[in-house]
Amino acid sequence: MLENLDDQNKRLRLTRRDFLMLSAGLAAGYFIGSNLPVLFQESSKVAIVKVNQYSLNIKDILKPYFSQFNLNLKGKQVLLKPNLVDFHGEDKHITTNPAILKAAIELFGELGATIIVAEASGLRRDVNTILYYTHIKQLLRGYGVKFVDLNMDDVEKVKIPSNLTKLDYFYIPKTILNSDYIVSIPKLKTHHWMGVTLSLKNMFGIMPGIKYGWPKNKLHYAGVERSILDINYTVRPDFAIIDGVYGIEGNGPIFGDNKYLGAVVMSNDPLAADFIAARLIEVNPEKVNYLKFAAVQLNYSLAPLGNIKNIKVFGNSINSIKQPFRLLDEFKYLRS
Amino acid sequence: MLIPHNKKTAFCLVLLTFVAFALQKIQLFATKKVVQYSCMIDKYRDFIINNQLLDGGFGYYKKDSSLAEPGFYCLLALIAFDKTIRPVEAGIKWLLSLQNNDGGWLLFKDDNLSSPLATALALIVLAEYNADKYKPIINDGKAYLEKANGFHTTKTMSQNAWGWNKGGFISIEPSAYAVIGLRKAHSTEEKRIKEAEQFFLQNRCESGGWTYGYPIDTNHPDSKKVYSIPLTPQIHITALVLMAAQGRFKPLDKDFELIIREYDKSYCPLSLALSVLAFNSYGQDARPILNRLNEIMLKDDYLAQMPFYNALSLLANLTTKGINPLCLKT
Repeated sequence: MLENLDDQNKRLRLTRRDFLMLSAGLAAGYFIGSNLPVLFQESSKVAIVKVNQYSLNIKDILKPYFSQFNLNLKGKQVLLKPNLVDFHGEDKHITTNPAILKAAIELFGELGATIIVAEASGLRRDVNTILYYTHIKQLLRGYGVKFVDLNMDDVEKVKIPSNLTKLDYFYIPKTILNSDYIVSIPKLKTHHWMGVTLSLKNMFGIMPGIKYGWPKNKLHYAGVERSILDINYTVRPDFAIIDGVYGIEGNGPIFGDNKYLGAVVMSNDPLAADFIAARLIEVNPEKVNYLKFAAVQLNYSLAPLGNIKNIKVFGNSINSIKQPFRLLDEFKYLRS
Repeated sequence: MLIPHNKKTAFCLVLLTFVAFALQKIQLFATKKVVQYSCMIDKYRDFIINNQLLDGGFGYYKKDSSLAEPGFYCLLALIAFDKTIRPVEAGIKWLLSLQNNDGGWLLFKDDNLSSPLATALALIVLAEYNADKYKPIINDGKAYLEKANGFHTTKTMSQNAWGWNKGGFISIEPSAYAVIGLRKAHSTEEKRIKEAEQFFLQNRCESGGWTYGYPIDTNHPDSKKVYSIPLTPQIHITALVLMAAQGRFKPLDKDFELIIREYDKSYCPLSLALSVLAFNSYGQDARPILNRLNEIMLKDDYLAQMPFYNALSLLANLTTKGINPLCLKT
């Protein structure tokens, strides 16, 4: 389906020129003396947690690190957004593992939050079949957690603050808009067009197919990088839990190969989490175009999507975990 | 070897008894099945009626706002059951309220663009309900579909087919709906329907059936090593193309075989119900698929609580009574 969108994607790829224009706009904003939003002053914290196998009690492993984020979500509605893009067999790690989702349900549940799991699968209309085969259906039943297929949710028209796609508005599922706290729970994967797919790219999967097509083809036409940024500026995820026990390398996100990393990355700054997760697979995040743009101020009224300066890593070190994920030829430059 | 007369009579009697017993069992089984389908029909119909929203529409989920796809399927199912029942009238009023100025239909009240899928479904509903009474409205919708543009094409998908929305790429699913809708509305726009058929024929998956569009996944064009991986066909899209193809082009055996191979692994009522309607349209035995559909609807409370899936299930079960509004008689 997505073949030959390449010219389109090249045309819409964010460039150095865009970057310079944004910088100029930002400088102008300073001179005008507008109310420049306060940039993140504190360093973001990112936990790297060694998790050897999905069969372990992952909640207990994550909890000492998770508790350091001091989240107060009692009585809040927390939406967990896993990656359930497609299903190619249990031995193929293209979706968020149910063990990671289970740990997230338990961790946020212990904070006194009401949990909802939601997804608008990008390659399947019948997400119910994916839920069964990934065993997430049984997991949610066991915990009495509600699942919402965002492809079928009510939607609301929301202005895009960044509007890099020039679509002006998005139709966002109401379950997303009505949630107090959004947790992006992606699978750590290389991506055949974007280089890597992590917590920001995972938010592509909140957009309803009935409006944006399968596989979200209207957003592909508008430019994948631009869409990722616009979606995240419109609906910022509050927390990221990146499933990197097993990931996908090479021709990801669907047809790549399994790759063991043995780690979970968590942060209340999803962009910082993505930067660290990229480094774990020996990808330079500053060379991943959409991550680079997410880290700068787009205009004087929009703060960056996260703070990547002086990220404080705790738990395990990058060096103790990192290993190179195979990249397609055209993304080899991301390694340096 | 000759059997003595008295022994022959005895043998015949035993044989007849056995046959009578077997026939009785078969009849009982058949009766039981018919009763079972009738019960399911009542159950699905009642659920739909009980979940009609105040504006006359229906949502995918209970208590959601009214949306075109679930709402139009609910109406189609109720009309197929009995077009004179009261909820149908309120539903039609709501359906008419979603018609856009360009003749097409919106997906929901505050939508900004007409949708080929919503328009096609609206045409099917109105054609089934009262084609004569709503002729001018049907004609407007038909004209929208015939002229709808603004869908992007690619090098390998260059036909003048339909997309999900203006600004998106042409896609198999909305194109199949558009063809069915136009044919139900007796469109004479032969050229565009033929283009869509070319689109279907050129984009069939290697293993039979169809997916969203081009059936091969390719990676980045700058790559020195280009991967071209066949994509998995989707059951519901295959069923829709089969229905759009009725009396037009002959599907291949492998298109049907895909559904036969995959249906009992599916937990998707959309896929199963459309497969029942497609198989029924071709006079093929759809009962195993229908039984699978009823089984998952009974077992899965999440599915059972959705008006959209109840509507699809009602339509599928009505085929046991010889009713199939997606069967295009030619």
